[in-house]
Amino acid sequence: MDCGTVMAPVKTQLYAEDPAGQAIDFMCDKHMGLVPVVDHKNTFVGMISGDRLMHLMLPGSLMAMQGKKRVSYLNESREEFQERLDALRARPLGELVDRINLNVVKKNTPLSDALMLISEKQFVVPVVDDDDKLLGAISFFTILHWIKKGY
Amino acid sequence: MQGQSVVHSAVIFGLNPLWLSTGILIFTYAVLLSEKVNRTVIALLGACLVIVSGVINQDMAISGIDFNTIGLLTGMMIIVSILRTTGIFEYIAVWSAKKVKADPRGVLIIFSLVTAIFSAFLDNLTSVLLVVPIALMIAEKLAVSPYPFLVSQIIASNIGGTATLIGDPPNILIGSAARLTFMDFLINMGPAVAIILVVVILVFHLIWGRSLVATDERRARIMRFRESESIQDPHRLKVSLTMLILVILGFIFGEHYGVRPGTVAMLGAVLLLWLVSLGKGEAGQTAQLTEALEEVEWGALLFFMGLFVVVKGVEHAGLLNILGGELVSATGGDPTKTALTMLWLSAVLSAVVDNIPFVATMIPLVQSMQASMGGAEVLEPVWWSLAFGACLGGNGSLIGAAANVMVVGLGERAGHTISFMRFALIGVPIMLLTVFIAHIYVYMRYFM
Repeated sequence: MDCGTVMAPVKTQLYAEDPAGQAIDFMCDKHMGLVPVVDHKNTFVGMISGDRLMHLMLPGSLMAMQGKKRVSYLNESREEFQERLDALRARPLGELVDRINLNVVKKNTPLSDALMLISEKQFVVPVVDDDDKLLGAISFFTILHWIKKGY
Repeated sequence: MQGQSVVHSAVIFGLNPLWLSTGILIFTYAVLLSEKVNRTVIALLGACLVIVSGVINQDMAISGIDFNTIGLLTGMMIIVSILRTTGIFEYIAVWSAKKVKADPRGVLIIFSLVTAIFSAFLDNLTSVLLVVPIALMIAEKLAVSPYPFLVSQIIASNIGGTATLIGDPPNILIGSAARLTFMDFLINMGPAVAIILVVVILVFHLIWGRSLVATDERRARIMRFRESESIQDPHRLKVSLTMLILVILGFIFGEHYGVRPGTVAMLGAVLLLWLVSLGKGEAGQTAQLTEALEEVEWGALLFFMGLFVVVKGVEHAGLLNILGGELVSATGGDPTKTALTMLWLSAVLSAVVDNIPFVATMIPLVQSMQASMGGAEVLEPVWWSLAFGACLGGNGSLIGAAANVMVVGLGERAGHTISFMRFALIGVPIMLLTVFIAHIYVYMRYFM
């Protein structure tokens, strides 16, 4: 069994040049936690997720902290969060997407490889062609749905 | 091992051990400088080559490892790994920033002092690892450039570390080899470090004072910080802080009873591990031990061991005796010239090469000069000059000390890059200024 058989098509509306604010609104409206981002030629750029956006909303200096981040002393106000959210909303998605730790598969990749990736905490595995064009995605729910349908 | 006979017959292919050990030392240094291979790997490779080639045998190699240094480093790493989980460093940093009413100029000065003091009693890497993220946080909240904070942290950590036996690895190496105590370091290095720190903070103020301005609203954000909430475990804090103080007292008084710093640090570490594990089950104790041991930089310890063996090779082959003799004849055996030459030589070289291998190599060289210079007492200013030069020289470039590289890495993680040249514009003049102050201090204190 290969990934092409199981993948679900992705009809993304998010492009690399779009501001992050558009992704935030889109994810809120659709109650989605993870969305792929493409360019206008449908080439896969990366994924944007709720936890990635939350990470980017933290003070930048927190990234310098190693190990456990203990910042209970910060005592930030709502205005400080709002300032960082506004700054984040204006940034283009292309520079915010996570591609470093993201694995992609091809249509002919054995399904077991995608299962391994999902079991190793990659919630969604994008499926791309040889030109990196986004074809679909596989997640835990895609696999359940495929098993349930029995084909 | 001075005067020990050189075993030519055991050397591979009958090669001259002097040339062979020198070749291995140069090879090790060259690869270390290139930064193409992990430094621990290359130091261990050099050590293995020294043994396999027959320059020294395994027993001699082991005798060359300074286990006092290794014990001191390991013990302090364990103590600091436990202490840092208490949140005390965050508490002190935030508390001190609030004490200067979050004025960015005041924060720059107070953080330089805090880091210098931390660096004197802990290792420099830990100090910057704990203070730099909070300095960056405060710069971000105040909407001022983080650059002055990053650079001042590098410089303050190197200066602070100069003051004590445990402040910087070169001092640990020198103290262990020359049998110089914690108090010897504090009495001989401390006054100069205090003067240097005051001068350098004035320089910081002159360079950056005018540009560091923040609005009242921005400063209020810092004043809202609740430092007391950074303390994670008050009991653990009390125990580990008490143990750190006892260990420092052990450094001061232990030498009188023949207990060397390596033993004191290891005793403090195991007692602390035991005390913080009290009341925990076997699994909890194992988890506590594992957590503490994970924080120990095993790579750094093996790096030291490898270096000790490589240096033992050249020492045994007689290279350092020859170089020591050359240095003595170049300075005419004059203690003043020798000490001040050592100061500037070690400062300049420490700016461009890692000061740890440099000092590890210089120690037996300095020891070899003892007889020709008239004894251990005459040699003491040379040891202080080596320590001043090796520690202060670290400010001369971004690669001059491990703490510098750490600060650059922390800055990059937060999106702030410090270029080699931009740092050098500040670092080189400050290095020259501080070494000049040390020059005057050494001359006035030991030779007038």
